[in-house]
Amino acid sequence: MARPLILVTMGTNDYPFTRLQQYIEQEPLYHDDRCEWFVQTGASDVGMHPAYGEVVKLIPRAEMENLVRRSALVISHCGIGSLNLMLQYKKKVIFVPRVSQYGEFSDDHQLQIANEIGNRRISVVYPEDDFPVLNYQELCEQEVLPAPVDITNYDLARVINFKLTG
Amino acid sequence: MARNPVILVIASSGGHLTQAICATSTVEQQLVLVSNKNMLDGEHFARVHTIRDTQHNPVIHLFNFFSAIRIFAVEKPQAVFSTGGPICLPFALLAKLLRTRFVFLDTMSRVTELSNSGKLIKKFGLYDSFLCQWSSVAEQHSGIEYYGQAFDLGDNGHQ
Repeated sequence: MARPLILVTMGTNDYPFTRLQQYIEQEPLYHDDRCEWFVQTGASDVGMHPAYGEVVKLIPRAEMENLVRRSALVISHCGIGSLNLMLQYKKKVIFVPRVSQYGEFSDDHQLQIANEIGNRRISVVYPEDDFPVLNYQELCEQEVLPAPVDITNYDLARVINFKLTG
Repeated sequence: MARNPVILVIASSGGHLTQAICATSTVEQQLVLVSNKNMLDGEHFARVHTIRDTQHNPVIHLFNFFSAIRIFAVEKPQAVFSTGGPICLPFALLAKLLRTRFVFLDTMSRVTELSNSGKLIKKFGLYDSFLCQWSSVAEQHSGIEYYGQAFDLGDNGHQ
């Protein structure tokens, strides 16, 4: 059987996110070769490697999209670019908002956006929370959508088009 | 023969760019992107200009102002659109000086107040249209319009 893919993305910004790296390194399945991991660290140093999988700093957007599509679970910082892709592919997501108190961003806007996401496939790990222990069986049971759903807000796009060209 | 008109889109890599792509999805003119990284290989933009990031050194804005002059000279944009981040500031200023239409959509990630670049663009009036993506933010300011978010945050999306 194919290994379930767990994708970890820390986005493209310039702040390190050591706390999220520690969370995944403490995850038993990170050291279990029945799972495939792909970890995109952005500004964080590439740390410990998983039992099976890759750790990279940055990848092109199209490659990220393909990884999101294939994944059984996405663990992500709470950025808008990440959020968009995960919603398009209806992924089960664990969001870890970056917070300023640990030097993970200049402010706490990721906490504010996390508070606004009312989506049953998305869970949020707040700074005071423990990171959940992942379940291998559940990962194997996740469905993979072959193509994205279109979540673009065309009403807003039409307004912008009118403002630019009307 | 006259060239297809260009709309210049200024957006930092990541979430700003994602929002810019959604928000310009019905524009028929040629879209040309200006960004701090070129991680894009899709078909949304005809071309990409890469400029320097300003996150850790604001002096770069001065350098980027000259890049903006060069890019305006090459592209002769009909209008300029931005979703931020701070790399948009010299382009907003130049658009004002050259009387080119500038439309700003403040980022979805700012739920309780405008982004820092949004605040500056608002304060100095460097826009023709200013939209934001949360009604509670729009209500704090006059002259800011709200038409929802660049994409649907709910469970379903359009099927």
